[in-house]
Amino acid sequence: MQCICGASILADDKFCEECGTPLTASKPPTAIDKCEKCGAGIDSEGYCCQCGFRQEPPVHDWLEVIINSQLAGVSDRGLKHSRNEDFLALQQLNDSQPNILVVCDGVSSSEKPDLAAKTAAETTCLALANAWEIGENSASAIKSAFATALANVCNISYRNSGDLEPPSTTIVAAIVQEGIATIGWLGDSRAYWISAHSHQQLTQDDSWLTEVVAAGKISEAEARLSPKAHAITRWLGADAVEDAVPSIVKFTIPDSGYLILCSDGLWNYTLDAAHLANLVQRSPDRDAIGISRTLVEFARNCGGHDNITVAVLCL
Amino acid sequence: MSHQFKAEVFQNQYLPQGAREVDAIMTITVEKGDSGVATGHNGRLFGIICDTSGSMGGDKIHAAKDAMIKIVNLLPEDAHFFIVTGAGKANVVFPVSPATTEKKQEAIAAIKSTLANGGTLMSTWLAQALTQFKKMPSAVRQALLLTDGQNDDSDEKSLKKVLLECEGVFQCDCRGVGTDWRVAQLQEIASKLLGTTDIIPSAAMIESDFRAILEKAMSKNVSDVALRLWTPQGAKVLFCKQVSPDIVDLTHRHKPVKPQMVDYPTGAWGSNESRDYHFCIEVNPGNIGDEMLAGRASLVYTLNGTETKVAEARILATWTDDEAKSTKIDRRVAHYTGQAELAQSIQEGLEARARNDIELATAKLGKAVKLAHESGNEATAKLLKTVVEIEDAPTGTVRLKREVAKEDAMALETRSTKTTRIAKSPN
Ligand SMILES: [Zn+2]
Ligand SMILES: [Zn+2]
Repeated sequence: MQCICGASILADDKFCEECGTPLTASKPPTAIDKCEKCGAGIDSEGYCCQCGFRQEPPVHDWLEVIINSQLAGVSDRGLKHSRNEDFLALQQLNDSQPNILVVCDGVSSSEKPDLAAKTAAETTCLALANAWEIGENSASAIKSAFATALANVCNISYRNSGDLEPPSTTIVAAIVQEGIATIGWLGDSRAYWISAHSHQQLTQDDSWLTEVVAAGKISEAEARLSPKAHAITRWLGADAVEDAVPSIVKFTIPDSGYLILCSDGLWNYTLDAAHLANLVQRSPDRDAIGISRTLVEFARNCGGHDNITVAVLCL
Repeated sequence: MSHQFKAEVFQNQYLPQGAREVDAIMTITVEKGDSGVATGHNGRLFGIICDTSGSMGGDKIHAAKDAMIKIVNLLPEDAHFFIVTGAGKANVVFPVSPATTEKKQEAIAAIKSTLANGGTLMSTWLAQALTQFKKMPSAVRQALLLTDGQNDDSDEKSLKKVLLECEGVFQCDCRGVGTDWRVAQLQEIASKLLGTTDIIPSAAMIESDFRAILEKAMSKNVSDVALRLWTPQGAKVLFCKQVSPDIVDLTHRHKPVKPQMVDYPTGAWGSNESRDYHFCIEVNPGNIGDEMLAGRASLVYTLNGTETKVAEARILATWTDDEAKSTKIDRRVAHYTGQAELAQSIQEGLEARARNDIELATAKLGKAVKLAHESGNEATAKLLKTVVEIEDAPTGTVRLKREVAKEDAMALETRSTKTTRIAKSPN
């Protein structure tokens, strides 16, 4: 057997050892159900009912949001970080239209990044819904929603001393109605379009890497090796109020497919949009939550070094 | 009425690599509250078991009869009571009755006509008491046993047998008046029946002691409470002891509930009561970084056949290579380990003294003086002073007293298991 990446795989492999693609139907690791020391059951506090050993790692910080079969998402702590500093918010208004997706990735070097991400995601989702209700056009709705989110993030109290950075987060938000997705962002959380016929990255990271590559200074391969490769140049936070002007794109949905928003915990492990498209196509479950779980599982299998968040809208 | 049980565990959960023993002190307190578990009971039954053998004649039987009459008068109206007197055989002087004014008068008349004569076969007394207690199986059931002498040697087997039958049916505090009784004998009865043992040196002191026992008995609200312990597979409970207010070894009193789970009896509990228990559990050691649930201790009480869990606490073990963490001994564990050592030193010291082994007795009682001093157990320190001359308490330097009143040695022996609680703040 062969994986999509070309590596050979065995019949009972759970994922490709070369590229990490999951090869079996995925399900959320809500709880470990068997003791790894003796095989007995685990109690609700995480201790083995028989030998008493606590099961590590305690799996939590796995957040699933399921609006319906078309709209869902997963945010996971990953395997290396001690907490989940990502967050996502989803909403569908009026049965069918519009759909709202928001993914935020708290900036680890700032104070209370988890709270910044949660505040920004929830505020933005609510503000977008309110703006749509009063008939604001989608681009200005995104601008005003980001402004409201920024104000709320600036209001998070934190130890304001020395060189601590105020609570900060990246954000990518999409409002989708009548075949058009309007997407705004700050930082390096991304949006992709994936369908049977086409795939593309819809956002351009606000990052040092993207800027130097766009400026033609160095190649992307070289830039990826730099310690600054993950440095972001824009974010939502009290120390970047002037720069918090989101980039906005309008994308006309060409056919049926998937709009995917994600944090770098996922896209760090994808080679490009084509790789992501392959992963989506290989997902055993075709609904939004199934694809979200598949992609998160993929990132975990690749090492899960960062928090992983994926939101999917099936169109 | 409702009662709030609280269980708290104190321990150092960190163990060095390969260590297997987990020590923990569990403090259980009961508070009256609105939010706690409803712990109603179906009445209180108090039994008086009084020695009327020939040796009780004279002052003792007079004082005992006076004390029993006072107690009967003090019984609250909503309680039930009975009186059994015993010599070579037992006599139900007054069967189970409500403590109404009329019944109290009848009982007092019966007490007055009691005479002292005959031998001492305690098994018959307890067997009669058992019959009475079985009439009110859902009540809070407590008894008081008073004697002045030794049980007849021929009764040993029967006593053991009847104790097994009484275990769990009622609780019994034992009192020895004078100095002709044997401490070990009464302690065997009291400990099986989850009661205390003490000496009443002179007949004149019976009344105040009886009052105290009755008061304590009437404060109990929740009966038949078990300490339920879950341990991991392969673990062994090295000991389980009540360590405060006094030491009661429960290690071999466990009843299996299901695999890995046993119940230890704790008897009845009163409002605002607090006790400490010491667990020592041997487990299969984990690797560095492993965390284990070494025990889950809960309190379970049974009312009308229904079990209710009223409090729970966890005993943990975590293996670490950080010596700063693993070498620390929990203050409470250290304190009660010291109190147990204190009680044991007194027992061994008194035994050595009885054998005329002056050297060992001096060493053991000296160590006891040192431990009592260190832990601030003033009550025990005071009792020790009746047996030894203390030259220097901090080092435990003592000399045995040549003349020791028998009642003082017996008081030390019976009360050596009383412990102090640890001071609130460490110094
Ligand atoms: Zn592969
Ligand atoms: Zn196990």
